[in-house]
Amino acid sequence: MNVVSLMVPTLVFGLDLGSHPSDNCDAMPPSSISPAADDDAARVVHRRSPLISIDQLLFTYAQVERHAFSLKVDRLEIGNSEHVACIGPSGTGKTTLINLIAGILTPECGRITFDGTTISNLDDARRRALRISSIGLVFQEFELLEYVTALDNILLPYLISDTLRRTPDIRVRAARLAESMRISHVLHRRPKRLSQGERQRVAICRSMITEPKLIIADEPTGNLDPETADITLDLLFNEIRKRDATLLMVTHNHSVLDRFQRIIDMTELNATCSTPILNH
Amino acid sequence: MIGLLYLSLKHLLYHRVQTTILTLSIAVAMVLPAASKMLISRYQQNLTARADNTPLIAGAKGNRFELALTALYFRQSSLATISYSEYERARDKHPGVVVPLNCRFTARDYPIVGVGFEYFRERGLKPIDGTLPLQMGDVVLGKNVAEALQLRTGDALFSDQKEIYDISKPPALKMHITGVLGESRSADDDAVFVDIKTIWILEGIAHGHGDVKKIDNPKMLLGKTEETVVVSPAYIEYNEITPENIASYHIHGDSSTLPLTAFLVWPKDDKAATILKGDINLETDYQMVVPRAVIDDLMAVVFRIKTVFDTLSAVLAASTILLTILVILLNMRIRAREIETLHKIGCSRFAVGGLYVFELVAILAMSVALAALVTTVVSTVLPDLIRMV
Repeated sequence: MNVVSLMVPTLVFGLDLGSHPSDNCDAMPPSSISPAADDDAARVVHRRSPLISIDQLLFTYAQVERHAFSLKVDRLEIGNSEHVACIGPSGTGKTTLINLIAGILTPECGRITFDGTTISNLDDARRRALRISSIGLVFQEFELLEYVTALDNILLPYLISDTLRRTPDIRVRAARLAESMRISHVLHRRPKRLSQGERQRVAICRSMITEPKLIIADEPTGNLDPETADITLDLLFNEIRKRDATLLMVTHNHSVLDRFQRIIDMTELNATCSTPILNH
Repeated sequence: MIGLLYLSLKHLLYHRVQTTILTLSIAVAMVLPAASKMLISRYQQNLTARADNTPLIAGAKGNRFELALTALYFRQSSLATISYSEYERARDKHPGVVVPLNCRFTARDYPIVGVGFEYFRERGLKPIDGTLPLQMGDVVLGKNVAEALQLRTGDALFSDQKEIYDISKPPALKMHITGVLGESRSADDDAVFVDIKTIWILEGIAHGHGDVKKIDNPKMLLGKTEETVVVSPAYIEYNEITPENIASYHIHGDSSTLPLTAFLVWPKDDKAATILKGDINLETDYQMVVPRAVIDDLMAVVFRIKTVFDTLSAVLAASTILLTILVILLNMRIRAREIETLHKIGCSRFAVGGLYVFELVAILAMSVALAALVTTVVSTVLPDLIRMV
């Protein structure tokens, strides 16, 4: 763990390591070690192990209009400081995968481990606390609050959560982030008065203000023109490299794939995607 | 927590028009019942206090509410008059204080109240400047009249002329202001007081003019005998009583027929009051009323109306609550995407609920503050409002 990641607001999650329903999914092979022992082992090992580790994951959406969707991932690991792109046609489970990794969704079966903590074992409140402190999210539609300034949007995680400790340097950190993302001059404007590129850079700053280990971006350049998209990605990658953070980005834009160290193709990863349950 | 409060206030400020409308709606629903309750309560206090201070009122038969309100509040009414002799009879026959009252005229739209001197003593009215009206043509002003018309002792006040184009009617009388009464927070503050004889000049029953024996113009002289001289109505009367002409003022006819609106009685004791009521109600063709009883009957009507008003207020409050709930639900729907983003970022369910709660509490707090402010203002200006009522 490098110096930057040591500055991340740390949380001590209760070690509720009892068996979780998802650990005992019928489709999954039983664990060879007890959950507690398993977790202890993970804690010992995780310093050198991947940041994200997925084992025997199964997730199924409820049936919607005669279609059921399920995502099955036998094994996936994403290492510390790795830059990973997630590609694949619509409906292959890209967004579902990142929502599962972020703890927004919970799997039916299997195990998702983030930085040594088994996310799939945590209750909702603890998953939220983990997310707000250790995972930064960037959305395609920016999702900024229209009624506050760009600066307040950047500081949003600290405004909505008591999990994060508010220290006097937060504003300084926000200002530095804004400077590196070249939006210092718009900090006191509301999103309505920002360009698309500026909005997305504010959203990127928001995702990084807590200095998370992982940035998850869901098609962050999908709403930007190619030139702005390039500038935004340059700034994003610079900042990620500076922080030694891990990046997992969903994208449809294959021209940006050479920026990544690894590419996950969902059509190969998930064999069970988008299964119609009735024949047309 | 502070962050959530900050976001809530920012959201309210950003949507300031919607916030203002919602705040006003809730404030109105709060103010109406509170203000009406206060208004009616103060109205009742004022009415009953003045009624309690006036044990008995005698006046022409007819509407007792009209008689009581005219005699207590000097309202212009179509009430028939009673004769001065009735007052004299009551005064001479019964122990206690009997005060004649005539309030059929106005000066710059304020009632001119002709009373006996005892009226001021019984009501506890004292001039803060000058003196009470000591002679015909003198007038003392209620505090509000003096302030509204910006008049003071030594100035003059003209009576309003009822018939401008009828030259047989007396002209507007120029009255001398001899004093200004202290504040009583009653109808007395909004009236001007004169001696009862001044009223008869306004009635045209008493007047003053030059020596008719010296009239040169034959058109002004309609008839003349050794004992009487009949002059034309066009013969100019004095319109101001001065030390020089006061002696010329006189009454034509029988003084016992001089008109009064009513006379007020402060009997010596309950027994005297009972005897007086029986005497007048049984043996005369006018009526005597107990103002407190009349006002209680009047308030019973007011309270019946208030019950209806309270029901309407409750309906208004219920509809406001329902509309507020609707606004909150619509707001939640509009903000669904924002809330989803907050959830995704990691905001707790409690915090998201807190955003709504803080906003609602802030709006309610502003509504309560506004309602309290309006209610305070209403209570401050209430005496004036009651005069308007």
